[in-house]
Amino acid sequence: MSKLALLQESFQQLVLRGHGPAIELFFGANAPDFDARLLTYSNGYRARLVEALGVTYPGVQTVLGSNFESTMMKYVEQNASTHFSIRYYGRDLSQFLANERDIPFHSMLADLAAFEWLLAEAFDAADDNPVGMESLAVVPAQDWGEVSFEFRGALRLLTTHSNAVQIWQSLKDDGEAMDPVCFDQGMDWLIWRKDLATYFRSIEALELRTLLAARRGASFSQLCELIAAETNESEAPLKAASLLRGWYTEELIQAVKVP
Amino acid sequence: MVRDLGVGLGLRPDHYETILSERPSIDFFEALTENYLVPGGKPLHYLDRISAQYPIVFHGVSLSIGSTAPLNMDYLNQVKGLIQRTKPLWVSDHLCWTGVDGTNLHDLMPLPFTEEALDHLVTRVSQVQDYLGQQILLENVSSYLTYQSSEMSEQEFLVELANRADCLLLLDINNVYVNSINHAFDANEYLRAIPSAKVAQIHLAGHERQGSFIIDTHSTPVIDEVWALYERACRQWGLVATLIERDADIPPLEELLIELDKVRLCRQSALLP
Ligand SMILES: [Fe+2]
Repeated sequence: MSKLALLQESFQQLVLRGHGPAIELFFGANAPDFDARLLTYSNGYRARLVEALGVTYPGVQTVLGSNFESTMMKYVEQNASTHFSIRYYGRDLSQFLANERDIPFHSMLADLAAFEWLLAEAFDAADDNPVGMESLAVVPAQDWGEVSFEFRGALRLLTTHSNAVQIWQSLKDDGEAMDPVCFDQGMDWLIWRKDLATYFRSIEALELRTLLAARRGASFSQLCELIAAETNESEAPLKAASLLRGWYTEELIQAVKVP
Repeated sequence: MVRDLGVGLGLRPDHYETILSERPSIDFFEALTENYLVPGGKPLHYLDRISAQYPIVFHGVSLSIGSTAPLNMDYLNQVKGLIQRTKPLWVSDHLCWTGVDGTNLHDLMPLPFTEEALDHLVTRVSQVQDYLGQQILLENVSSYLTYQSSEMSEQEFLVELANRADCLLLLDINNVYVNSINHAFDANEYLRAIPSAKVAQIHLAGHERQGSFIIDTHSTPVIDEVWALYERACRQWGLVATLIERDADIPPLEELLIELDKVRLCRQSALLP
């Protein structure tokens, strides 16, 4: 190992773990405020990552309040940043919170973190353009059953087992968190972006299954079959058309594929 | 010689809307490279609009030019893509390392001023310049610990690197001041050693005192001592693109415009005989 490599290895260990092998080779430890100067690096490292977590997870920060910093510090100790951009730090926070059983309402917090991560993903997801209902006008009547749909890149789906999203909304509306509640039954959410603004709403089970099938490339007639199997045959095409209209209005679709 | 872009400001999201609606008289903006290495959405939307109206330069924090870890080619490739999209007048980063073993400390870690580090840097800088197809600017950083292993002064190291690697310098006058306190050297002597032909841009910023040393926080206005150094630098180097950096406690744009006027005054008075 070169001298420079050893120095960087040592210094990094010092910042991350508080002790670096052979660090005394590099610094004169009798400089005034030596320890405080060292701490500028190691504390600065932690403070920057905790701050970045607060930017990505403002809801988690508000709910945890005075416990936010210590909880995030624990995350930082377990997770170094590996991306060139601090924007992507904290990807595993939801998983981390799910395992932190000593934190009150940790599973609600895990849901909240998952939700905020997806909001961030939708926020700067790739730009693409929505198509409107008129994109269907060019489809000849006999091909209708065969058309399929391409969804926009920012679209995200989430299942929560708590009222985390409602809590997020209540924080946004009046700065007050509602009481946390957990549910056995999962609740599904759709997150997307329209122009530059991020949106979300709950999504019912049948719509979710239809959307997932459509996203996998199912044709319109396959979507009707899926709906028919769960409701009744005669209403299925109408129901499918109404879901589709909703997706168009919400600008979820970026292309129609005609075979 | 590099073109003097005039007086610029660090581009921060807090100011996007005001910049577009009020079109303040600012000669150029410096955008933080990593903030725009995202797939799409608001950051790139605003960058596109602002770069249509103002000259832009990029300023990165993750090149890690001095690291002994391999260059991050994924990063460089994305920077190259961003350069093609925005066509900045130049791209700068810091003379530092930011991590090894796949870790990013998100900090500008200081390098020892040794021949070994110089050799390493010269190779890496030419790799980056070849890959990006342009000269880059490297900025002197603030540091808090003094390496015993250094074999030369910081200014000797900087000049030697710029000459041998054929890159340009972004001289942060505040960082020179901060280091002159932290490592007890003469800031004027430092500036005198830097040849004007190598200085493409200047940074000015504020900092915070911490006992016997100073932390480079970019959270306060520029102090008088740094203004004085800046005036002297202007006289020595002629007019160089100068930028005010503010990264914490960001005030409204009007307040920063007042500080920019002060930069203009300094530049004008430096031209007087
Ligand atoms: Fe700077």
